[in-house]
Amino acid sequence: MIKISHLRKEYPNATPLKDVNVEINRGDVISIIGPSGTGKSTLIRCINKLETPTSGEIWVDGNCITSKKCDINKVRQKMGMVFQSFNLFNHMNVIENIMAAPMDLLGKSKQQAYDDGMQLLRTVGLADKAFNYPDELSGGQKQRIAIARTLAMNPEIILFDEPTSALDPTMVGEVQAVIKELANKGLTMMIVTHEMRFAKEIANRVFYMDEGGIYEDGTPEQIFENPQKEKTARFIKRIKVFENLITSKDFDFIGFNTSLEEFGRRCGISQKAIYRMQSVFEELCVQIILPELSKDFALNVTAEYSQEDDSIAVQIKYSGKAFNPMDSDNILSLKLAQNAAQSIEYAPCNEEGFTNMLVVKIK
Amino acid sequence: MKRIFILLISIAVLLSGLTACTANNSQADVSDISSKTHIADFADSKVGSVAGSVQSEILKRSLPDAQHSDFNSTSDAAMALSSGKIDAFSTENSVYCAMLWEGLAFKRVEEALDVSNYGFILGKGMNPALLEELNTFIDESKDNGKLNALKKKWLSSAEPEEFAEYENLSNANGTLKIAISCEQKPFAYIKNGSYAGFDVELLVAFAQEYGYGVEFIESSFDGILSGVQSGIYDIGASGVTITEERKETLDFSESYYSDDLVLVVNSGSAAKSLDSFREATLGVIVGSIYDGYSRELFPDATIDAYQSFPDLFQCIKQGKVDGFLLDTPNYNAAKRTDKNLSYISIPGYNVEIGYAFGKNDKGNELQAQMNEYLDSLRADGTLDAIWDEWCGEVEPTENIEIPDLSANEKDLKIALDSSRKPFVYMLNNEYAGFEVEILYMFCEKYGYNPKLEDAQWTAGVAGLKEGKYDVVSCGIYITEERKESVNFCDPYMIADIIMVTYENEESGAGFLESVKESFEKTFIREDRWKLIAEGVAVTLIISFFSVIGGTVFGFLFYMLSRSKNKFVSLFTKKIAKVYSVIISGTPTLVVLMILFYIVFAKSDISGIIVAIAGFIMTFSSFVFGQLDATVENVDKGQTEAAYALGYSRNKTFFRIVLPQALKMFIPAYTGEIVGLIKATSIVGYIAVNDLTRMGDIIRSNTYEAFFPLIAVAVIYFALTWGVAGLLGIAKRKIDPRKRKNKNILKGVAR
Amino acid sequence: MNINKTVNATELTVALEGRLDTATAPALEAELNQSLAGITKLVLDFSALEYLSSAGLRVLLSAQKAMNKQGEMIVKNVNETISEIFEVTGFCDVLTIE
Repeated sequence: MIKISHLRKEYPNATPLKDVNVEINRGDVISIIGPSGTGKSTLIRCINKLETPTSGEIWVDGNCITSKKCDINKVRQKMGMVFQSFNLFNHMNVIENIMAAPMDLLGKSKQQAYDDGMQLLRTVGLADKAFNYPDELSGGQKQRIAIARTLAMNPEIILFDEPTSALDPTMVGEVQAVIKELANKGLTMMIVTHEMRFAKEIANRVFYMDEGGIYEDGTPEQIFENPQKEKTARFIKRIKVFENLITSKDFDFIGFNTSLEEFGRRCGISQKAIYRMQSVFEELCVQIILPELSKDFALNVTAEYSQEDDSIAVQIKYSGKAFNPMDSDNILSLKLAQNAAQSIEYAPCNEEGFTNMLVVKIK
Repeated sequence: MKRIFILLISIAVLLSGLTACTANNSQADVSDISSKTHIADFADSKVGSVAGSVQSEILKRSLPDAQHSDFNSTSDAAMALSSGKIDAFSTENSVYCAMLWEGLAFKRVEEALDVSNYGFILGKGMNPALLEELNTFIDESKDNGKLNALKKKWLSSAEPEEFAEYENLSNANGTLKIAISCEQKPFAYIKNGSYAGFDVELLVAFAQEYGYGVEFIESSFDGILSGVQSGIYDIGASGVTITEERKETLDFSESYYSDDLVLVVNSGSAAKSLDSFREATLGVIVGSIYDGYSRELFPDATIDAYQSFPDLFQCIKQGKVDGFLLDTPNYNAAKRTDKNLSYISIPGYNVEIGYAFGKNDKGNELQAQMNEYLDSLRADGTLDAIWDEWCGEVEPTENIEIPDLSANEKDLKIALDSSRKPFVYMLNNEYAGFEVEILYMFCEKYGYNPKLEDAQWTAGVAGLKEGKYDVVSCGIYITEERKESVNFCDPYMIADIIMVTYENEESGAGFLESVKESFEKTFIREDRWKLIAEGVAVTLIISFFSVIGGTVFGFLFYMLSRSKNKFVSLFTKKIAKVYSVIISGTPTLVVLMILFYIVFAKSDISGIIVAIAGFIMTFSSFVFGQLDATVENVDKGQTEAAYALGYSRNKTFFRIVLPQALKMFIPAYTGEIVGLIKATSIVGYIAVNDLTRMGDIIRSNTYEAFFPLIAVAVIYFALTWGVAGLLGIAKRKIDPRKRKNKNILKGVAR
Repeated sequence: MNINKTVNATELTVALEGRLDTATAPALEAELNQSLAGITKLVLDFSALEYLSSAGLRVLLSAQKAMNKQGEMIVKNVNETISEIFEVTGFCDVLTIE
């Protein structure tokens, strides 16, 4: 359906796409992942020519959109795009947003556009907001409406450019649900995302972008469990491992908890599991270990997520005199930590700078 | 609530300002001697004069029933007046002026008794050669300006610092014995042991040129006459008036000076001598000859410059200036409306007034014709009669009967400045004034079809150069500088320059009555409101077309800058930037003037079109810039979303971007329109009679500053308020958020 | 964490929203110290509370002790996780939970 041949995009300061060659089939749901700046957004923006390729060819359904003769507006009408910043039309209310393109570009009658639009709104669950204006809605609602707006044009392929990156964590789910629905219906989609769990669940194909192109292209299982190439493996691993070193009693507790939470999301573990992780950290590290440490200390926390048994192993290494937290008098914190963890093991540590090690398994 | 507040403020401003103009409409107390203005008023007063002098005779003839007293000298008479023994005495104007310089608290009756011409006397038939030399000398001195210089030195200012030396004249051709009086300041008197004065210096100059030495001998007036008669003295001087009677026994030289004979009275209030203006605050019109003269006469005074005569009258009423120089016709016109005005003569200073023609063949022809015509009018006294009609003490009420000259083939294009009362002004909404009447008569006589157009001096002169006008009639003074750019006819009148003064007297009329009178003068009298209505129409026309034109051009140019063609769009943007920098850096007035005087100079285009062109230039620059800014402000993401849906560039612009940009555009747009309406007030400079200029014209015809100005301000306020209101309604109507749901979904079943 | 207080005569309802942990517990402690004067019934509404740690438990304990002297304290609307915490730590016996 889409054929990309030797696509190259240059900017004055960088060349995110050097030589991309790929074919996309009807019905493909492709997740595009990778580190920042590797051209993920650039790729899909070239497909609907929001960015103009420096060289190379892109064929969409037999139309060569990179040629000068191509009427890109007509081609775009068959493609939809959902943006990170929603981009709803502020001067129109919700139903107008959805009716606008079908009426203006496809010549649909007002009545028809209205009926179809309301139907779409019902599909995304926002029919009661039809007469609200975009600035009266939450981020999640806006994005769902943006999706409805693209659906109104009956596109053959929808491009998603980080659809949930600008959303409050509480609203990410509602939008992902709508996107999943569309995938189930068989729509062809390309989704640039940082949500790894979502990327794995929804796609039948994953592009890992790096080194100026599609570095590795495979099924979700291949990419996430068995990455073939080096950089892919490193990337996947990185999102699975969390590491943080604390050297001061005034460290940023709130920031630490937030990073833990982000890590948990990346791995796709449940909110409860995230709380358990945080509880383990707070009770063991902050309430028990930290008070025992002298002025110059090092406390290193590493967390690793295991696919196989869907668990997290937290390793806490610390310096100072030898001391087992399980021997602490702080019964309250111990109880909470033990409640959150599957197992807690203590051992002396021979590593440089660390004397103690604690391994905690969390479900 | 806000509106009521604004209304209250406006009323407060109005009321406070009106108190300024009420003090001016007072009635002078007729019984007070100091306000008698006619000789006849002194019919039964006590008057004095110098025994045996010509003016004494004239006085006695003019007031046969008055009580006359004879004095030995003018100073005696003056003392008698100061102590109240007499009510008035007669003397020459220059002598009177000299007294003012002394600080005597006198003033003169405005009506003159008579005019006297002065000449030097020689014994009858005794020295014809000397007489001839003297006459030649006097003639030459008139031509080469020596006489004028001496007049300026002696007869108008304070006592000069330098006096002519006469001890060391060569007496190759002998020594002249000259008899003079020593009490005829400024003609002849003693200063620090030498003789000085106008007559003295004139004679010394004569002696120097013809190689004579001089010996001055003091004598009484009678003694001078008889001494010369009998040949004891060669020449007699000291302001001797030439009379037929004297000619029988004496030879007179050519008249070297003419002087008014005046009645002098006590000035009643604070001494107003010319001396007291030495360190006063004087008003002048920016760059006028009065500017130069004032500095010449009163080098230590503070000079404040103003824009027009009505301004000066306003300032002197309010006491902002102590006095200002003016010509008598202008003064007379103003005096009609305000009896508190008064003046002090400044002999030796005068202005020549005339018409201006182009420096080309037609101009030369017209100049010759006009001179010829003026001569003929002078000869039969018509010129004087018409002058008195327009420039006298009575306000004319009837318009000129305009002859129908449309049949004449030759056109005469006349530029008129209708704020120059009494020469050119609007009476009952038609052109009137001394110059206008003469012009109509001229056209009738020489077969021209007059085409009258409003233009001030500068616009008129430019028009003369380009052939747009044939004559400029503004009651303008003829100066050497102006002669360089235009041809003047011979002056139709040489008017004296005077120092205008003001005596504030208590208001007789009530406050409300003054308000009523001001209102009536500004609007009702002569249907002046029609002038205002015309001005409003012009202002609105200019504003309307400028806004429409500017919006259209600005919008079109903006769309060009959005062209897909990179070259076109870049080029347009660069031009727009340069254009906007130039326009915003140039005052709109300068832009208009460049258009009017340079770009459109040769064409016949009306000033209104030029004004519209100029404002379109500035307004379109604003529209372009503002569109650019507001469109920039609409977030780009929505544009991308529209493109992604398949909207073309243009469709996106008109459907998505522009509606949102407009909402932010309208407030600035409204502000700019209001600014434009007010800015149109400058078009008076390019010969367009808009609201402001009409206010000016009314102001100069009524000598009222307050009401016309306030009325104009209120009208502008109403106009801008109305426009802003309309645009506010428009803004609400086009705000997408204000639409009702049922209107959005018109025709759709829910 | 957001603390929403509602006073009804001598009954004070404190609704917590967010996390009650080492960072946020001091704020609750300060707030309660200020507001308990003259209160006979303290109701803690945990319907919007997502997370509770030992630091929070300690504050609850001291509040319970204080209210024991002047009236009663009730904790209500606890979710599953927090209920579990109360169980494991034995606080379910100390606090009055609805």
